[in-house]
Amino acid sequence: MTLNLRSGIGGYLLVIALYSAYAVLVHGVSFRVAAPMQFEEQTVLPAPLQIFLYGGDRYLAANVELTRVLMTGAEITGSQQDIYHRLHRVVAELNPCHEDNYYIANALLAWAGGATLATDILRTATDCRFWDFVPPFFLGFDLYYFDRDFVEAKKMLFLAAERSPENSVGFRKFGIMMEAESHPDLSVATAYLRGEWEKTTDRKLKELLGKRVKRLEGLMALRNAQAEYERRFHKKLENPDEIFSQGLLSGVPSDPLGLGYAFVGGEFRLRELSVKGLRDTERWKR
Amino acid sequence: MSVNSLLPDFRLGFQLIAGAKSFALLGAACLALAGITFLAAQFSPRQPATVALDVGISVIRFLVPVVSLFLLQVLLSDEIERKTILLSLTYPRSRTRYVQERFLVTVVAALAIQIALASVLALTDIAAMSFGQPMDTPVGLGRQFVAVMALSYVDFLAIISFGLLLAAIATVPNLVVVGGIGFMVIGRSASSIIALLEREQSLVRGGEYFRGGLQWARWLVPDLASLDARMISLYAKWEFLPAATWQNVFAVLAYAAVLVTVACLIFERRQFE
Repeated sequence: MTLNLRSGIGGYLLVIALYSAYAVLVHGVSFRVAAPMQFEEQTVLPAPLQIFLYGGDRYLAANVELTRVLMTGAEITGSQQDIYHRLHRVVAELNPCHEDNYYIANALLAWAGGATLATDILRTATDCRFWDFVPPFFLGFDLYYFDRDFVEAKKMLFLAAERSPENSVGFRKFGIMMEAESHPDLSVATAYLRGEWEKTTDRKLKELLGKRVKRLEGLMALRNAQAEYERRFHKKLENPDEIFSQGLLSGVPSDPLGLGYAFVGGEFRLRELSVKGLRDTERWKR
Repeated sequence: MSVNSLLPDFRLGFQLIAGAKSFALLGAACLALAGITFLAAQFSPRQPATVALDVGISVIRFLVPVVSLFLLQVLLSDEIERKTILLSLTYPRSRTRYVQERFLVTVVAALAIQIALASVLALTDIAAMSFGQPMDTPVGLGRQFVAVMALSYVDFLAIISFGLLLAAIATVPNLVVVGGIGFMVIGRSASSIIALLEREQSLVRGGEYFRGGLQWARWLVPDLASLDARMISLYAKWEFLPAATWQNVFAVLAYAAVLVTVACLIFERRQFE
């Protein structure tokens, strides 16, 4: 018996029968609700492959990969630093001069505990963007603040000074102060600063350095007075006013920066501006 | 020979492609370019105009060759497929002239499309400059942009020439567009991939093997990536123009000339049923 699908009713009956079979089969299968995916997107394709996938257009690849970073936007936890670092690095390979890349890498990575990860991206940007003072400035600051690599930091600050005439004096002063901090001994640091002050010919820089030299000299005077007090009275200095009442110093040295000095934990220190969010770096405590 | 018959195939070809529908499509493409560029600028916190220009150049570098290949397909391959080529070839002019004039139509149309899209991009970018704060590094929309577009046009010439070669040998019309896009991708990626593989020694195991395999590619496929000097416009710095640019331009032009010549030779001897 051949199935004649052309005659009206037979065809429809066949369709209904087949669909009934399907319905019965499907009814026995329950839909398993899939567990929500817990892993985050972790894939970053290597740069050569991306170039090929984007049709040879490495700039487009760089822009799209950076958009991934921007769109994720979640709070950066320690575990996520790796994916961001890989994303930023691949963008740096595809388009080293990309401004958003280094800017966001510095903001997201460096300040979330991944400073060493950010430095290689900043270095690439410094090399590619030969006119831009911002990458070496960020790099110098990160090296100084997070890595404590004062010599390299000063080099970067001076490079930034070269690239930015209007900020040149400020950057050079900052660089010199960074290297000054690399000297653990206060007198050595002051001598270094004085040397730099004498060397410099730039009037504005001389003025700024001069103020800082005076500030350090004031601190040295206070500490020397404390040492003299302890030597003379054979006891630790507890109240700083005793130095002045005993006549070891005529008065509190004037601080040209206007910040003054503090007596904390048994010794004199420079009073620093406290900025919310910056951890307190203890300088010249040694 | 009167002026009218100077480039008859050219006029014919031009009439074939320059209809009202084509202009509508071009207008749609311009709008799409403006929209994509404008939106791309929103994704950039520090340099909206630069990213807008970057994405816009990418779109132009994709659209113009693909559309030109499609036009070439319409002008040549469709005729071959529909057999109307047999009628066209009966006219008293050499096959080479026929091919050359159709090629010329495509090339001129590509230039016109590129100029239209580039103008739209420039205007959109000027609008994008008003986003957010003024950028530290301005874009170069003057001579730098013209230079970038000119170099890209040489790139397009190479791709269209390859499309011509495919049209001369192909029996399937779509081969022109598909094969042309493949050539575009390979030509533009090869040198960048080789450069990156050399740098990233740890990236690919046996990278030297791949590099050795890819090195011969430059004798077969021109280095189209060397004609992408868009950084001079993105950051307005002439320093980014590679030193060997003129050499690259002439090399690619020579390659295109070889392709066109081979295409004409093949076309002269081709048997149409």
